Amino acid sequence: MMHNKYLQEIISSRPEYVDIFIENSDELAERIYFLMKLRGIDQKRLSQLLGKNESEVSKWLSGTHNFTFKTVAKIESVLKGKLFQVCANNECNSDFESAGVVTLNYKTASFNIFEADCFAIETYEIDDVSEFRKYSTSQNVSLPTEVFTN
Amino acid sequence: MGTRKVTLEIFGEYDNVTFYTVRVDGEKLSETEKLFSNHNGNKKYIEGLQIISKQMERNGKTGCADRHFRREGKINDRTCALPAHLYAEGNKLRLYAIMISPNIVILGNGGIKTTKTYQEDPHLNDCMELLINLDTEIKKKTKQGLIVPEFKTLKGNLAFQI
Repeated sequence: MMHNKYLQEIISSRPEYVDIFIENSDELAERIYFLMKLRGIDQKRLSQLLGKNESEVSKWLSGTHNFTFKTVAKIESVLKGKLFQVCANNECNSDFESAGVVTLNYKTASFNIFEADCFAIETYEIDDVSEFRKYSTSQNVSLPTEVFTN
Repeated sequence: MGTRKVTLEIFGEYDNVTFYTVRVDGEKLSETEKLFSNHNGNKKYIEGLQIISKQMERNGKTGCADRHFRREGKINDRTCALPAHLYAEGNKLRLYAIMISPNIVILGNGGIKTTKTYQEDPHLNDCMELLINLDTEIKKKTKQGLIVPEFKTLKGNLAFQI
């Protein structure tokens, strides 16, 4: 790969959120494009079904559109397919994927809270039950009841 | 304005796309360098340039598609804007380009679009006119076999009188 020095300067100063924004937007556009092909709907037809200008749909497919949830919902409804899914609290985080399990240690007891491959290996030493409860509440996870009776 | 000599040079090269830029003979900066150097220090527009650079990387990996660009010029030319729309806060930054193929793109200059059409802005109009004239010359030379697009490279003499 070769970059002009002016381009390189911009790349070096680029914050991570810009990368995430463009990757997500582009993947969303790819997904819309895929569903359009699958359903046999072209740009013109999609714009008619949604009551939008064709130029607006063209923007969406360019991969740099900042969608609102409402627009996403309307597109999903017309194309009969999910465009994206919000992660549940105990679902994989790509940064931690395939790392192992979380273990909470309450005194002598250890409990695996998450399934393997879903979170980083972390061990928490918590001295009393109230701290344990506080942790579980903050993480929005249900601890096994036996934790509290150990 | 009389004819000018311009030369194509590489601005960014990726696995599947080469982004060329245009240098007008005797000028210190190429057309795309002008845009980058003019707006790099401006907080309001730096995000737009960062988005452009990321978009180039994404397209550079996979190859460009028509949908990544917005058609800007006349019916018979290949001029467009990259990316089509920048949704950085209030961003109206435009970078004009010629998409020769999914693997070859020529970047020009651009700027902040405050008018409805580029023709209404003398600077943006100049940027586009240069690309439209260049596209005509590239087509001519390609037809004559003097320029050959090979995958992501334009082979031949990349100097033009426009």
